[in-house]
Amino acid sequence: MLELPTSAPNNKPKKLGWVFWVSAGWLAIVILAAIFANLLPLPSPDAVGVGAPFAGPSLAHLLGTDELGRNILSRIIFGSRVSLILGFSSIAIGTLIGGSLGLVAGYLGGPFDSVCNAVAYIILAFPPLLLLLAIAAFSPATLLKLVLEFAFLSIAPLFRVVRAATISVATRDFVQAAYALGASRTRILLREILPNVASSIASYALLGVAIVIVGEGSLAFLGLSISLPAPSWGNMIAEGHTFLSTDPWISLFPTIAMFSVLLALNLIADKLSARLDVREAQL
Amino acid sequence: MSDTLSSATPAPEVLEVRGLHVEIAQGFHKLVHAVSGIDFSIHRKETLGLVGESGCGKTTTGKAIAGLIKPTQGDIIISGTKVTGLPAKESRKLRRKVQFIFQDPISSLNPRRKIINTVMEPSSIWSIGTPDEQRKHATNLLEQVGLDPRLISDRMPYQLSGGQCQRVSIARALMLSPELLICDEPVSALDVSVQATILNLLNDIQEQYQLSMLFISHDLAVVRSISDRIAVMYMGRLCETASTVDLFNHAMHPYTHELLSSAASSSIYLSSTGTYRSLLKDCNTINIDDTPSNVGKQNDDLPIMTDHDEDSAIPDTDKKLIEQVQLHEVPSALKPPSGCRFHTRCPYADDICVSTQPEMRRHPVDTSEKCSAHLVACHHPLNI
Repeated sequence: MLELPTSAPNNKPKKLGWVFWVSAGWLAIVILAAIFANLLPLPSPDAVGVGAPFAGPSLAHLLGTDELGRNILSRIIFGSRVSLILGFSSIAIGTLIGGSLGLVAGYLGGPFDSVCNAVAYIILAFPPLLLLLAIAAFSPATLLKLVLEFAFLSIAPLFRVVRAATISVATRDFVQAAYALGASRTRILLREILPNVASSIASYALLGVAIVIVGEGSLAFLGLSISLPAPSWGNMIAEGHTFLSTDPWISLFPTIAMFSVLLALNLIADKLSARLDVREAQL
Repeated sequence: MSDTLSSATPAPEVLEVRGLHVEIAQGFHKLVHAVSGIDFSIHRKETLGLVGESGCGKTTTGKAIAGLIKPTQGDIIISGTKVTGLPAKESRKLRRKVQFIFQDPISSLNPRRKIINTVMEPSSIWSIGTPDEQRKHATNLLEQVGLDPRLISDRMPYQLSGGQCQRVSIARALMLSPELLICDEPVSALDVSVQATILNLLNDIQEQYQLSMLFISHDLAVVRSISDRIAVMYMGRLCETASTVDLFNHAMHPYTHELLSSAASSSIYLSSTGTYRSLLKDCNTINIDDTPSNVGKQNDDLPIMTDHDEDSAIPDTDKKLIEQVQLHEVPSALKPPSGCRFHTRCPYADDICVSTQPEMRRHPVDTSEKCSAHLVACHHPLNI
């Protein structure tokens, strides 16, 4: 009475495709360049007058120089440290706090869920820019302060996303089955629910990183990003925009850098969620 | 199956349900009366079928017994131990004795876990044996439920068919050697041919493991083929319990009549229990030998399709009533009717039915053994 499998064995995971690998490769290059920036044969990003001011791209300065004669490539690579550290660490903190609250609230429901949800709504209703302006009024921005600010702002949205995903998983039969087998709540949360929401958490977190990187760029225009003259993509774009009509490359190159990283992050998130989503993988 | 019990002395009760009430809050003010005071028991090695239309509280009853829903009132006694009101840890231990098979087989398996790990999970929860022993046990069980462990073990649930998934959940339920298996419409999501093989599997497993079963279904033919005894439920209360043979031959409650008659008018199923079993066997052969030409041929040959002799399970006098009964809508469970809950649809209802709730009682004519007594909750029972 052996019931044979209806379809041919299909144990190979679905391929991620070249789009994913190109994106992941580009992101890896950017991250490696940021880590090993000191080893690269580049002038210091803060050294003034390494070339003539407003020089276009040349062999000596691949991406040209800015209004103070600083090497733009060097500033982009050193500036990427700000964007990457800010993006990844603030979202990591936000995911840890918002994600675990969302998991527990979504699974337990009841008063704990109601309270968390109400607080999340209040935070979401508060304009983030006001918060950042208020904090900046007291002391100059440092990287640590920016990380904490963005981490705080990311908690509520990540909480909402994880909570929603948890609720949709927690009502399914296999969770009840685990309960009937005698599994404890902690075990159900960690072994039944978490693996099933992890992929949506991961893809939202990657999108969150992209949003924070854009956020840093916007803050730079308000003078709220890390204090000048430290390089960051936001600062470079903001500084360069005055010369947009005469020397566009000064803000164009950091914009391209930011754009390509954002695109890579979005594509990775998209392909990952398609790959990890069981229902889609089935098709 | 049913005659083995009537001759034996009553075995100790595996499950006793006394005055079970389940009310589920809906919004702030509404209260759904899902189950309103039901009593029944299941004997060792017995299969009790629980039938009724959708929304009558069958599933809620099953889930309350398995501890998945908290009853608002009443007692659930498993093998002599009262489970209701026990501290969480104690009741968690007792829950091992009761296992649940869900309606949707694919959704009842964790989509991110390999089949072998799903089946091993119960013993891993309770730390029974070493991982190697667990794996061995799980492999044996997979084989026993008719799956090939070499092909199946490393697969994910979405790579299996519904029938295969249901077999996996049966194997998982057996890991803890339960005493009572609650099957909540275990075959209604499956193809008819697969339904039969799963029912046969449940039958085999029951005999082998000496299990008791609570089999919840709306499908009379399915319930008939597997149950020793049947309980009919309407709007949170039991109407009638009787041995399968008694219920199909001498239904006393008007609602049971309605159920039997609607099954008669809608399908081929109303034949004797024996014939349905032969249908099951035929389906088995179809499933293995699944070339399309064979399937068609076998189906045409089924004796059951042309067998109209048993159509008279419902007395002729009652046939006109069927039309009247079906005119009425099911009342809302938010505000169940007074007295007998069926009175709004019952052709025999009078004042007493509106005012007084009928108790479940044994009919004086009934001469069967105690354990398969024919009980009915009706002021004007039929077939006397």
